[in-house]
Amino acid sequence: MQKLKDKFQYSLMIISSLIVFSFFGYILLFIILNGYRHINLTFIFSTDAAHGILSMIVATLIIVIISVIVSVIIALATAIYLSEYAKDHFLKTVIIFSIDSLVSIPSIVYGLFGLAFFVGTLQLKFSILSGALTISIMLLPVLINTILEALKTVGNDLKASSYALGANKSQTIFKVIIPEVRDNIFTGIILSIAKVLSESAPFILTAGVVAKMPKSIFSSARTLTTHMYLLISEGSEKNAMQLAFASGTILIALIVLLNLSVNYIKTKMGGH
Amino acid sequence: METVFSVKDFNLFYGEHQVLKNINIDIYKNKVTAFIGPSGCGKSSFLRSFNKMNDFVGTAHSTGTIDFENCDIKKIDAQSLRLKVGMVFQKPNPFKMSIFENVAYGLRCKGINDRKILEEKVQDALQKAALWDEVKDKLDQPGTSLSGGQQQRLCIARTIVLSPEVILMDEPTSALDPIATKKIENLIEDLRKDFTIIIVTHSMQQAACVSDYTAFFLMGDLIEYEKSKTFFSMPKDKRSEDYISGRFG
Ligand SMILES: Nc1ncnc2c1ncn2[C@@H]1O[C@H](COP(=O)(O)OP(=O)(O)OP(=O)(O)O)[C@@H](O)[C@H]1O
Ligand SMILES: [Mg+2]
Repeated sequence: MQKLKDKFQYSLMIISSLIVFSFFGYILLFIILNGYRHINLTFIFSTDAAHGILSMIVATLIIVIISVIVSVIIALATAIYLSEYAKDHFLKTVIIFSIDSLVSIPSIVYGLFGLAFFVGTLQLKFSILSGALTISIMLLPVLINTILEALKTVGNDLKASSYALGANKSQTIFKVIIPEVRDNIFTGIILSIAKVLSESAPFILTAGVVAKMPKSIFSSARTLTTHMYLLISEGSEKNAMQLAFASGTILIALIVLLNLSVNYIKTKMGGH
Repeated sequence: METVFSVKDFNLFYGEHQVLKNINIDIYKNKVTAFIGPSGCGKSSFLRSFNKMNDFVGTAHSTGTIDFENCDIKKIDAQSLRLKVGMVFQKPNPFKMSIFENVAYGLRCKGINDRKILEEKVQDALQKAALWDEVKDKLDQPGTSLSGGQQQRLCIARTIVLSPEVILMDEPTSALDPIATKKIENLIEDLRKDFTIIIVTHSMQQAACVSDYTAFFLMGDLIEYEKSKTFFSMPKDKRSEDYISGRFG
């Protein structure tokens, strides 16, 4: 009887994984099959927007790099402050509550804020920098939460051991506590990259839509996802759909590539 | 006999709650002193007072004095005191770094980064902790890859690398199997030559076999402090006798 039950559960598990996997595979295949015919060297490497998407790839990569670096540094500092320094429990509760609330705000609202603050007040204009900073703010709440949760699991004895060896607070934080949560930080980075790549609305409002190779981080530029969105919504090209699928295929390749590089860095840094 | 710690009229409180009551005790140099007593009697709290680890408990405050080498520890800065008075915790807890770096940690925190000096001291500490032969070929592997007993000896090595006067051990074998426990007990025998050791333990057998002196605590009071041989063969106090024979605790 027990054996039968085990078998049943086992097959249920196999079937549900198969369903999930086939959906995923189908979507992936659908995009790639529709897109691959348009992908050739000109499409990838031409900086002329009518034919190629190199400028969007470059803009996307720069935005990913800036926003991940900025948001990880700020999130780490905030989380460390909240878990290791902040004493005032009321203030801490308020801050954590605000962070939790910020998670559920839609991206377009962050876009509007970026438009008013970075583009307007700070006079950064429509630029890669405005876009990257806006998306950094949007990444912060989830990153802070991820790191905070990880910091909670670092045992008191471990910190105490560091102090008992004559270490001071900053040595304990940088050499003992942060390495403990390193893996969680990398998970946060991968999730953040996915989020940056998937957004378009906030970038239209802050980085703009100029389909040219950016000269610097102060140039306006178009991300890959924005490009796909505009291709379809404007419909000015006659094969807009296929071009969008082709861009989608490149985007998927980019995601795989970025995740691989993050994993590479993680192991290089001695991810035991 | 030289005393390392001299405790006078020491009272410890967490907020209103008094956990140690008027303790007077001298800890002797190059001896192993065992603290025993039922759960919650304040052994760990007392142990943490010797290297100022109670400073991290916001509500903790104390009266009376603890002198370390004839100097009130209130006058010694916590960081330099902890270099002289090391501590090994109940659960082995290596840092997330290599075996080598685990041992070198305290030295690096002191600002010693010279590779030659580090290598020399790390090897010496690992040898003293009876771990060198087991790890000499894999010093760059993570400390967490070792077995529980090896991890605990690694934690002892990272403490003795700083050449402290005293090593405080809070139930160092309670998370280990009997064989690993025996190894640590043998190690304590050897370490006695170079260090003064205070060990908290729940095992009468361990206290009797590794310690020179035993202090018996009950609900915050120091009931009896005696040579271990005398204490375990003919305790003076009725309560000590009851505790040793397992009638409570
Ligand atoms: N950080 C703390 N804050 C408040 N009270 C504490 C704290 N640590 C310990 N206590 C209290 O102090 C008393 C003594 O605790 P302590 O840990 O020193 O006992 P112990 O003898 O080591 O017990 P055990 O054998 O179980 O380890 C207990 O009543 C405990 O509840
Ligand atoms: Mg204890």
